[in-house]
Amino acid sequence: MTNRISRRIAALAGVAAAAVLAVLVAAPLVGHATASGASCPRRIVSISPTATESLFAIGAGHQVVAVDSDSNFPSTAPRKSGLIAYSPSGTAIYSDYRPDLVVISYDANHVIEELRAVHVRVLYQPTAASLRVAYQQIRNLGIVTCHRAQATRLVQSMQGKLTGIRHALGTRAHGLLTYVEISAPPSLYAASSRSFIGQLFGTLGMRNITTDPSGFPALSQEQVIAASPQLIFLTDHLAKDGGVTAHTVATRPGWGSIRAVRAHAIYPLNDDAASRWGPRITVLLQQIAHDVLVYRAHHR
Amino acid sequence: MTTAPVHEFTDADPVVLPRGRARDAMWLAAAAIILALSLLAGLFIGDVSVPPQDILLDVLSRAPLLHIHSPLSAVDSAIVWQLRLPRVVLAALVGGTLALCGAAYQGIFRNPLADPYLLGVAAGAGLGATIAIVEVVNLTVLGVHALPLFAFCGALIAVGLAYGVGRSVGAGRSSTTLILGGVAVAAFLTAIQTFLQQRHTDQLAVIYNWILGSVATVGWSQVLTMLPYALVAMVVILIHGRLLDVMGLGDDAARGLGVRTGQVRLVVIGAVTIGTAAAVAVSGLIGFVGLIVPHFVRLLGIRSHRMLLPLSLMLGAAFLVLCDLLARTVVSPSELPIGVVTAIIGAPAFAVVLRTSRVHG
Repeated sequence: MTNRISRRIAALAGVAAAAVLAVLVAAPLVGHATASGASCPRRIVSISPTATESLFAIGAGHQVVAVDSDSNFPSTAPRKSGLIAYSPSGTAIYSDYRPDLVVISYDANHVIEELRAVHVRVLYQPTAASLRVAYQQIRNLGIVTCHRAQATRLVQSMQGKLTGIRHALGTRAHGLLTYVEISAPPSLYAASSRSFIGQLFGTLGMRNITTDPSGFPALSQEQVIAASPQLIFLTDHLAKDGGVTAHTVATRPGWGSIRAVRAHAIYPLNDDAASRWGPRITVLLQQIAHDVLVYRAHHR
Repeated sequence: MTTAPVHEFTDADPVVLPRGRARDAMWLAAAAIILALSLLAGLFIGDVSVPPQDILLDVLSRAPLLHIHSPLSAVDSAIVWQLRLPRVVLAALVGGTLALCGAAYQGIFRNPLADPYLLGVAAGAGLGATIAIVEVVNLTVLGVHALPLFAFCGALIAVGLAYGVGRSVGAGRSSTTLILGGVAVAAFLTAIQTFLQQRHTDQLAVIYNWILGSVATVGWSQVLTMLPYALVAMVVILIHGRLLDVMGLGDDAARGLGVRTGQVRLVVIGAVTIGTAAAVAVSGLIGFVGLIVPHFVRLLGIRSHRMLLPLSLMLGAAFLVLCDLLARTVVSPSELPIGVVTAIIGAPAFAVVLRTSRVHG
């Protein structure tokens, strides 16, 4: 008798947990798009470089009519120079493209409110806080664009690649102390272990010189030198971001004492992949793994 | 930075009195001690804690015959000697130069509200830096960074124009027209700078960062760039201390005593321009140092330029080193622009000076 009651309670708890999970998964859609019962969108506008990559990766590219000026991947995406990711205009988007779905990552200028006012569905996908959220955003895109199966396969493929990278690395990345530079001195900013990109390094077992909860803290040069990371990764190596190179870093006053500088372990990261949380996460992880293997080949 | 209203010293101002050598030596020693303590504070205090006794032992370990082992690690050594020391030295050099130049201008123009930017140095350097930031694609010209080069040249051209404008209406005999020439030139150059900024709003942050000033260094290069100009300016200004005292009596009286006032004024303006332009080129526009430090020295009862100038030099250096210490520690690990710190301290002091000048004027 007692066992039967226990089993019923367990079953009820399971159903309740499943219901809660379903609500949590559906929340982004209910909250930010009227997906339920809607037909498949045929005129999608993406004002999120990450979402653009995901849309094309799940096979929804043919439904996309316009993407923002920063959406440079894939090259076939219909990029519009007038669509600025950080200052979009809802009314301009509506009048120029007549979309039936707009995907955005940054709600600047009350664009969500403007688009909803003209009855356009909006899917809001802000910067992912973790890999789990990044995967869920891809699945949500699949649901809203009627590419659920492709989205699920894409996520499984990404998870498989991540597992493969971990296996390939073994324990060689474990405990390596890293510094991920976002911008150079005098305005020195780093990605901490709490940022999305910082968590990617963490999934490989690497440590970060800063665990600041803000994700992208300002640091002083003294702090970086004192931490003496074993590897330095640069996201500001392109000319538009500062044009920082390994040589630039090595010749900064005092930086010559840092272990990474002495070991020539300064690596530029793919600029786009490092700032997005879409399907090319695996490209970034492969690059990091490659750099770790190069480092380990010379330093045990 | 600031444009001072014309206010010439009058006969009612305190007379320059001779002082005893012992008392002068005491002031100079006190200023030297303050400067030394501020330099040590700048060297000892930072984001990373390095025990001061370890730094001192490291210094002693470099001395011959002492055979002292340095307790500093390679990392701590790099932080102290490669990061902090050049920065502290640059702050001292810039602060000392600006304060000395301010004292010289206040003497030569007999205007207590004069500062080193009086004749358009700030506007000229600001325009030069803005042009370098927004128009020069390759920011290195013959191995020299374009920004300090353009700022330096802009400052020199601005003062040259101001002098030309002032002279054309009789500045050879009156400093008032020279100051007004500086006002006109500064307004004109600032207008061009504003126009350029409006056309390149994407570069506004870079321009304002430069305008607000910084002594964050990339090693010793800025120090070495500024040092020769600063030394020339310092030597020229310091040896004119006695003549500035005489000119404090008024141009007619000074000429009566055989001083070639026009020539002295030209030489001092030239030295101030070179020193200020060099300071601005490497550190941006740092306000109030050249204005309030000489006044602080005067508050000590010192009127003779033979003492006012060297004391302003040393205390200006100490003041900017301490301001920089605040700038890099108050919101650590971020930094405040040093111009903000000097303004926060300098603006109230400036208000007091204004109030005092009105009371006595």
